[in-house]
Amino acid sequence: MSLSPSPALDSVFPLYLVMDQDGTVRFISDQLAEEIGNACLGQKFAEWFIVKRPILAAHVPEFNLLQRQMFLFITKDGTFAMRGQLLVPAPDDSNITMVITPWLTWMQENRPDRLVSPKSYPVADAQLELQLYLSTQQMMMDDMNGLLLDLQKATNQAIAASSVKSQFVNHISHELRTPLNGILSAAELLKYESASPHARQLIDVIRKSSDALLGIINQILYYSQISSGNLTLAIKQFDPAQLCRDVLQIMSVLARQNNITIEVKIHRLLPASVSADAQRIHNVLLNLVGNAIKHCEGADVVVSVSIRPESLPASPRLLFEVQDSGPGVPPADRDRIFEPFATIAGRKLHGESASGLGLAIVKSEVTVLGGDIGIGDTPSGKGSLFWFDVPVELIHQAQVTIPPEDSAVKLSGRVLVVDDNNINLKLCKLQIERFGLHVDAADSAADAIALATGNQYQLILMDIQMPGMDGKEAAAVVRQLPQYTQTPIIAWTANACEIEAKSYQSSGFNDTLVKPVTTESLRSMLVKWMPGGQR
Amino acid sequence: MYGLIHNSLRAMVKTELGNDAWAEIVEAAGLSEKDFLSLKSYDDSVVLALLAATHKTTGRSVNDLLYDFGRHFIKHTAFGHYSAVMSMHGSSVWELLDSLNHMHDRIASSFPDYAPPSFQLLGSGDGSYELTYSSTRQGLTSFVRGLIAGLADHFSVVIDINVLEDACSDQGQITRFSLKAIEPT
Repeated sequence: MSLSPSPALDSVFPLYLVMDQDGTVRFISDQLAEEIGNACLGQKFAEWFIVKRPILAAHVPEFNLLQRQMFLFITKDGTFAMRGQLLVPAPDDSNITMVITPWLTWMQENRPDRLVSPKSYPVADAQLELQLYLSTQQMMMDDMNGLLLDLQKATNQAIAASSVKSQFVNHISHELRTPLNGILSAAELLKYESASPHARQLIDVIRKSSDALLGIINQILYYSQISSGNLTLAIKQFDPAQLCRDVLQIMSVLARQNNITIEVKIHRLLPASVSADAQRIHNVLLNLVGNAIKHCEGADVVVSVSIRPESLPASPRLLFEVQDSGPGVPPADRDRIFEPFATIAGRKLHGESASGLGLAIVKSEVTVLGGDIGIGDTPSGKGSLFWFDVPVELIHQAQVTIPPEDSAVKLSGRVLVVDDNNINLKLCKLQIERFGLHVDAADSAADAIALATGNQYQLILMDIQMPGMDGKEAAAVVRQLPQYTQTPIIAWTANACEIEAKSYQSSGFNDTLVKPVTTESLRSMLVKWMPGGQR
Repeated sequence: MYGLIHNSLRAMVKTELGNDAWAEIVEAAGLSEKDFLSLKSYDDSVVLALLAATHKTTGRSVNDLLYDFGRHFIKHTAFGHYSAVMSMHGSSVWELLDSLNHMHDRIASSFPDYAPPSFQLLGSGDGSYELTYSSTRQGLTSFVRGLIAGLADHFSVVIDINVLEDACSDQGQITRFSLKAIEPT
């Protein structure tokens, strides 16, 4: 038995020891002696060291049975911990050699004061690299935490800025809508007055210009609402083919004016009833068809609706396509066409007189619906093919609920209109009186409460923003009066924000009528809530 | 160079001069990034631009800045996040300097873009040493002086550091230092 230093082993494993078959330590390397001394020589390995692994080291008859296992052991005085492995001996060698490395993690945890020479680690041992990685990982986590804090700060600033912007837009919108309500209502009523043909033309100009201005204000406000995430979905059942036909009916006037025919293609497998936010899908399709008509150059617009076959049956998606024969959108511009105020070579993409937000709103609405939108190539290679798809729930025929048919309505009763703006107050009174209803007007919350207390109205139209007591407070007082516990009280406001509308309902209002009112919006509200109307 | 160098410089500037000064330096350096990831490898020109901008902003000489940065690096980075690794490699200035190559070898094997310098320490037996520093980079002699001074600070000793020879070439830089611990009086 040769128990002398092995230069070959030394060069690779600075720490090693040699035992005989019964586990008695007969030799240790110089570097190991430097770390733990020579006292283990002549001692039984399993008795001299505290052996953590393998647990049965002290009980096996021959150490050779423990080959390929990792040894974890510590000197009895607890000053040095090691990892070891037995070498497979040559057939004629009765010695057992164990190569060793310091057990770094144990040392750092239990004896951080004890310096282990880096020379004790063989090159192949990755424990030092592991230590380096662990140290670096902590540094990277500190980097990430710093970046996260910066990100959080920037996000908070952006949210605050966005909130200020939304408040500003809402405020401006409100301020613009109030006088616009006066203009539009007056123009509506002037239609019923006798006037010269020239005056009628001018009234028509006022009405159309006001309508256009209202459209722009509505788009700006709506985009602001979408951008701030203040939109919720109103899911209901609808017939997608009918939705298409409704949109086309609305757009037929514009199409005729432009000498354009709109062709509708309903896929034969289109379900008769689905559930989704029909109003928003309607808005999106209306916008796309309107744009197609504006950009079409004398040929047809083709609108098709189908259900994406690959989406069935797990997650059905309705697919709408609007194809025009206009100048088209170059492929390079297709990604940015849905950005606000985007143009192509000076050409507006959002309609001739719009706010520049049309397609940006469309994109945001589709996103809110959980869908996708894009531009593809037309079969002829000319014009544009706008498409969007949205997830829907399929409704089996048995589930379909059929709304009651419209019927002719005859309204009757008394209405109280409340607004601190006397122009709007008078105009609204005149508009409601045209429906054959008796109307009282109050220009303050106090007057409204006094009139309500002494009378019985079938409907109260209440302005929200009034000096002193506002509409919400006034409505709460009126609601306490015994004769008004069930009477519809309608919030009448220039604030078109959806969130605000919900807050009015939670304040005791039955519904919200947004200024400026048109004859149609007023009629719908009265039909909905007045006796003789339908609910 | 890895971003941990940039982050260490940023920490020094922010500690000594404030957050606004760092923002000013990054802008003056013409860099689009003001944050660095410790494990991302950046071109050497980035840290050189930061040092030049720091020199321009503070009016301090580049050599003084490098010296201070070397001391800061040892205190806050080497014995900050890498304290465990540093401690393994020596319990005195001399043991650490003697183990630097070993440590750098390990780091180089883990970070392939790392181009570490090489050190050779020779003791004369009378308490004085000669340290030869060689690097593929140029102009960092003052930084190395700062590193040695930082190690002396850490082990609470005072070391007299003198440059015996400083040779710069296309291949990089070789500097011989004489080091001697000064006994406290």
